[in-house]
Amino acid sequence: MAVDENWDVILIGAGQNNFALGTYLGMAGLETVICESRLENGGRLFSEEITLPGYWHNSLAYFQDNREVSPVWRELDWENGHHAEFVTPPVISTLLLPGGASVSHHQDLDGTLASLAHHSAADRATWKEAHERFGGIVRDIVIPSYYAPPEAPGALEERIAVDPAGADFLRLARMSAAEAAEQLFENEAVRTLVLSQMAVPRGWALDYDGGGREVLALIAGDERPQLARGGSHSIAQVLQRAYVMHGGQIRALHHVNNILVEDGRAVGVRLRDGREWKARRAVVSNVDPHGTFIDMVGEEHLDGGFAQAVRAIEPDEFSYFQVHFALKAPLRFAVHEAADGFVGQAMNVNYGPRSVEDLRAMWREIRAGEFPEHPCLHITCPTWFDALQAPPAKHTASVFMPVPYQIKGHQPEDWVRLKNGFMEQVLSTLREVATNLTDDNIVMKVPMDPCYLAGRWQNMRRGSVWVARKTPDQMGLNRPIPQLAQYRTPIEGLYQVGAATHPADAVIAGSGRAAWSVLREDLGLGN
Amino acid sequence: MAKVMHYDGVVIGAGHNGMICAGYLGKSGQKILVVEKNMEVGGGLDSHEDRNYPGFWHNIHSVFHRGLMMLPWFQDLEMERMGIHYYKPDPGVVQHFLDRTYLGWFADVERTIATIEQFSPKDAASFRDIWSRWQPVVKNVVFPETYCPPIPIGEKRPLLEGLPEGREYLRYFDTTPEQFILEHFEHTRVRAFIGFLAVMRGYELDAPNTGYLVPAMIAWGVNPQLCRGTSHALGDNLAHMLSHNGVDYIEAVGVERILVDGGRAAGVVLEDGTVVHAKRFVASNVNPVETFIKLVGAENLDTEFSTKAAAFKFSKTTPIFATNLALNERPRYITEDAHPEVAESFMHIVGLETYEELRNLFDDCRTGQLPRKPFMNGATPSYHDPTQAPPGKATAFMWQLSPYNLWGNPLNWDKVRGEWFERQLGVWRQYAPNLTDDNILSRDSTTPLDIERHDRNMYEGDWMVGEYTGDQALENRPFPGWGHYRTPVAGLYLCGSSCHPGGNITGAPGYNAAQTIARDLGLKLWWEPLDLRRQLREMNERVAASASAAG
Repeated sequence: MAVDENWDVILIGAGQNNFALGTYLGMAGLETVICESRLENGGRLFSEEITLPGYWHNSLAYFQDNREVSPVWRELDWENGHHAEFVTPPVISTLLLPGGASVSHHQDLDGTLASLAHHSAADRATWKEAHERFGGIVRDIVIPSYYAPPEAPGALEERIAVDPAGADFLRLARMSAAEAAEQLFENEAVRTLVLSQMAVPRGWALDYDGGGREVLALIAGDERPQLARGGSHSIAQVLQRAYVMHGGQIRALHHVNNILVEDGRAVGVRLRDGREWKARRAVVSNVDPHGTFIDMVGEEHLDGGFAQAVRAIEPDEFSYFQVHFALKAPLRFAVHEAADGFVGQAMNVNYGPRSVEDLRAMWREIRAGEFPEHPCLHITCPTWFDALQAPPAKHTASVFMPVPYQIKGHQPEDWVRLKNGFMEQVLSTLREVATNLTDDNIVMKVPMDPCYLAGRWQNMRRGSVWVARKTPDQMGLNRPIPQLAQYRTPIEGLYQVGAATHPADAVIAGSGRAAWSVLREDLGLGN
Repeated sequence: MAKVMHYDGVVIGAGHNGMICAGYLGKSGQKILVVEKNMEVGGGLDSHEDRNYPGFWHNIHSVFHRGLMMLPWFQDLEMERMGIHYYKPDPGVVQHFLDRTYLGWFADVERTIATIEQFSPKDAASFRDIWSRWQPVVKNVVFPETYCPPIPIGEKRPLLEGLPEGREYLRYFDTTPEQFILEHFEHTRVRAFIGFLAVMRGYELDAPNTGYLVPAMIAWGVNPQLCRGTSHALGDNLAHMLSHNGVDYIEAVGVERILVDGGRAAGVVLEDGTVVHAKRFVASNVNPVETFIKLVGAENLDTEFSTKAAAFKFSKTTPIFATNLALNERPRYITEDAHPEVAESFMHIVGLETYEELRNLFDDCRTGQLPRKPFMNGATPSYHDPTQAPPGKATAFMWQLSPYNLWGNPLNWDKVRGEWFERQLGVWRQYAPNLTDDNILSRDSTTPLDIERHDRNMYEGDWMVGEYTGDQALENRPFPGWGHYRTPVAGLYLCGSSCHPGGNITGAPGYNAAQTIARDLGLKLWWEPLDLRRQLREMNERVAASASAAG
């Protein structure tokens, strides 16, 4: 018999969720394979020598959070069993303001409070109070909900409401991020610090209802974002090792063209090269729903209403534009660092918006298909914290910023011609604060545009990093559509995981673990 | 407080040899950690996505692999079960000429000979003669020698002298590749074809004691194969093989030094301060300069040895400047109209019209000049493996052997990168005129300096990881007296390309080192290693027996 033809479960896409799910399945004794269309595993947990060899750049997910509170990390022994190493920058985000001022969100509460105190005594007090009052709810109720299938309407809210601070929490959590920040804080710099962290890295627009929960989670401080030592891809390698050690197989550059359906049941896959592989128990797709159902299953196997609903899933309203630098000397923000040394210890140095109105202007521009005149740059210098990401005594820096997927008057494919011009535009903005970013210091610079992202990660259709927009009609029990919210699909034996499903990749491998509880039940795998 | 870990053995460097070595020993029950400096395992098995167009994958180091699925480690370690598969295009190699003729290397030797015949019937006859005479030499001597720890010539010579294939081997043992080629072939194109293929394996044309490798190559056949899903797939799946065999590996952190305690290798310290204790052995897959001078430290070695280590030579003629293209349409060669079979070839050689040009390249590389005339070998991987490009599109590359120390300073490569890329492309276009600007979506290059930047072990961009000359070959590799994978530091072994039989994707240094280490540790070998010594003795006994029977 030919190699590779038969498996218990075929998992499509070597992202974090399939690694977690595949590891649970392997521990239960099932033979699984992951088919990955790219060469490298890990999806957005990716690092590459995109400028020059020896300089490793994290070209999408550039930090990781929610690790310490994650049941997946614990259950799969990722940390101790598979060599995960992290470094923890003391400052999560700092927002650079005109005249050398800045305001910072630290890992530790006192650091944040000290920074806020420079701007507003009232906001300092508010932050402290919110941190103390809402922390328990986030830790004990909200975060655990990321690792289980979405609950019946109102169930989560009912549990939150029991807490003495529950009513206040729910009131703020239902608001948009902008409303919540404006309700909580009086100072423009503080509001802007909070709201500048909503698009990148959280995927929330200012005005989506429910974004208030993100503001509260940020203040609660349990996310504890960190850098993976050596680069983000090392996390993917940890996940891979755990998966393979439990018997999993991975096939890279194996493009799944079709999910084979017989009598309404998923029975295997057909690869681009024509090979057909059978799945005895299940097929799981980590690809976006459009890719899974319209492209791979085919509409002939789907109810018309379902296919229509899949087509109607809204992608993100924005995508990422990135610039990666190979540098001789570490990036410096001399003016801001002189005023506050913590600027030089920030994982994210945010620059651009000076007010909430600037962020609103950015969103108007993005929605109008314009490269933002009011950009919000997220600058990160990994080698400040981890020398291993560059050759000895050399450095890396990267800029991430929200932009539209399609520039007005252009096709997405035009990015390849536009990207160098935009890179220069970003560079000139950056030079307003990055005092040593001279031509001489830059060994190499490379832009990466939304169309490239969409081509590279095919589940990020239209450059949609979160796959399905995080509006309330596509969250929770509606994510991305009600028919897929429990990871089961209308095709028996076919399951959907990934950022399109709950919890929308708010954490590492949330949907992978939640889907495991569903598959365990469906496949009768016991505990 | 530095982290501390405990293992039976540590392997430094997750190149293919390091992983193969670790795989054998892990499967023997040893608890092993493989430490890799890069984010990606695989060393020269390195592929990356095009920077402008996603879905195009460039194999930026090794591409042309030889008969891997037949190799002992591939089978012992069940690499096919790990999903590795090779495409075997036929012909393996075509050298195109501007007059639209070609030389080709086919699976069927008569087809190869037919292409030689059009240039020189005499060379065709000579080729056929070498091919048939050397079949038993390859089978009984050269192949097993590759996959065994080397036997010193003093011991080997008497074993060979009694055998016809042994005498054949010894007949050319003292010669250089060039001497062999000039002696056996007369036509400049045939000389260039065979000479270039030898050079592309990392051989030096004028190195003594390596001439026998040319007839061995002829008899063995030059039939390169392509790893499905890029070369890096092999690297990745070797890592999966490690996990399946209970071997740990970590990436993105290098080894800072090897701990030596009482003259014995006791572990390693990593760049992040982590201390890894190795109870039984440390195997280094990196070159001897890095291993001994940097990691062990001269203070732990006697002066004579550390002087030898510091003087280890790297090749001036193996570094490569690679041009990688993302294309709308694959290159179409000028020879294809008259000879449609050349389109099927895996390797394509362009620009090399005479043997003199090959000779000139050696001079240019050794004097640090840009090659006076580009000539290159390359391939169109997506033609054989459609996964390497988006549907309907193509990837193609060409390699130019180039000096590392360009005009005395490798940093000059950063200055001439774009210009030299166009120069190479210009020559390529003479042979593949459809490589127009419209056809080319994206251009990507790797310079000799980039090779070293990516793979710190490949000093001076030398992917052979040490010049392959008589004084650094067989039992003399890396140094005379140390061709057995052991080192003066007890418990410290070498397992990489700086050992016999050298660079390329053979897995042989790792395979041979694993055997040596396993025997030293007193492990029961779960695999059956090739044994040249025993094989030669048995053959000698048979010869003696039949002689006495006849007498």
